[in-house]
Amino acid sequence: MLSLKIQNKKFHVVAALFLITAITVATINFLPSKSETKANASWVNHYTDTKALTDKSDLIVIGKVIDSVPEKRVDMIFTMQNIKIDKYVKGEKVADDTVKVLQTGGELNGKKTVEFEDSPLFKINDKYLLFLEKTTEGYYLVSGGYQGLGKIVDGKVKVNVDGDEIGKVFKNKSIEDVEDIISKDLGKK
Amino acid sequence: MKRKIMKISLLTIVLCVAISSFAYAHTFGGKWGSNVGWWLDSSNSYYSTFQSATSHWNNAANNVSYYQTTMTSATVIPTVDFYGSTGWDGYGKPGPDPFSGTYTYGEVKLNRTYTDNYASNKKVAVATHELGHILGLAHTGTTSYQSIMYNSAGYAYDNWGIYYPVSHDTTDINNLYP
Repeated sequence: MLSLKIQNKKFHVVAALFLITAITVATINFLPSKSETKANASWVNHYTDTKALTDKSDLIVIGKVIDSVPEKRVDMIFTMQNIKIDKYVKGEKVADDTVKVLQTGGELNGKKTVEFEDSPLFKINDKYLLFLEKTTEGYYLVSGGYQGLGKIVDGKVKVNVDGDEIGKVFKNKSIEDVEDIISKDLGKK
Repeated sequence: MKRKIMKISLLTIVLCVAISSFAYAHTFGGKWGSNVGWWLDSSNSYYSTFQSATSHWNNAANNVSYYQTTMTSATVIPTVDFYGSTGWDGYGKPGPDPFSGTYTYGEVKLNRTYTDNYASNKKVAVATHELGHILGLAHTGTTSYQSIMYNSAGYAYDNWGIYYPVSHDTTDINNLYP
């Protein structure tokens, strides 16, 4: 009788733990994080495979953010990110191995305007794989808005959106594997 | 004991189904407590674009709608301007907090640097997409199925020919405002 009661108690404890774990996992995975950016953009360019993304990019580089300069346009704040290039995967060497990449969002004179959930502002000293398109104004934009952007963490590429054709391919790949894919897309392999 | 196992199993299945449904629905987390008043000067060249876009959502949603009102009463006043090369043709942000609570205003911008070169229905696609955000819908992040709320409204228009809410969007908006 006593052993049956203990078994019942154990069963309830296990069941309760299981439910708590399931709810916690669901919450962590599916609730949007408030620390993330607050707006969603509609991106102009969109690519349906890595070859198109590679072909349309003027530069593909691995680099580190060394400086962020906010600027105002109309009623919004943008940030010009200065990226020191460590490695060129596609494209010709640029002056001082430094490239300017415009992102939406930032802070100027104590005022902040929106940044985008799938393209959050780069942080100084963080390292990124960047597919870049040159604008007529001379600076660069990330190709496909969020598609040509991967933060490098522990040698792996972290994408912001993993449900589309690009994100599915690059998600959690090592930087070597991604370079290999780009080389094949460029016809080098 | 068997009955308890059955109960726990059933509960787990219900929980999993609930979690899956939540994951499939692409919403921010907040919503409006009433219908949404919008205003744009009728002389604005994008006035008819927003008229079409709001009508599309009114046709799709059963229990929330956009209505035209005065500038002073409107909680959504789209801004249409030239922001230069930014990579985006529009954005939408419900406020104060997109991720929770009751919305009291919506911020919508279209970037004419790009949209002035679009066909009229592609402009409507971007406006409809942004107004979907204002109602509380998030990006779908996948091309596995069609949606005006895919991360690029231009892609939805160019590849799927849509500039209005489709099945997935109608389900999402009516789940958000049952």
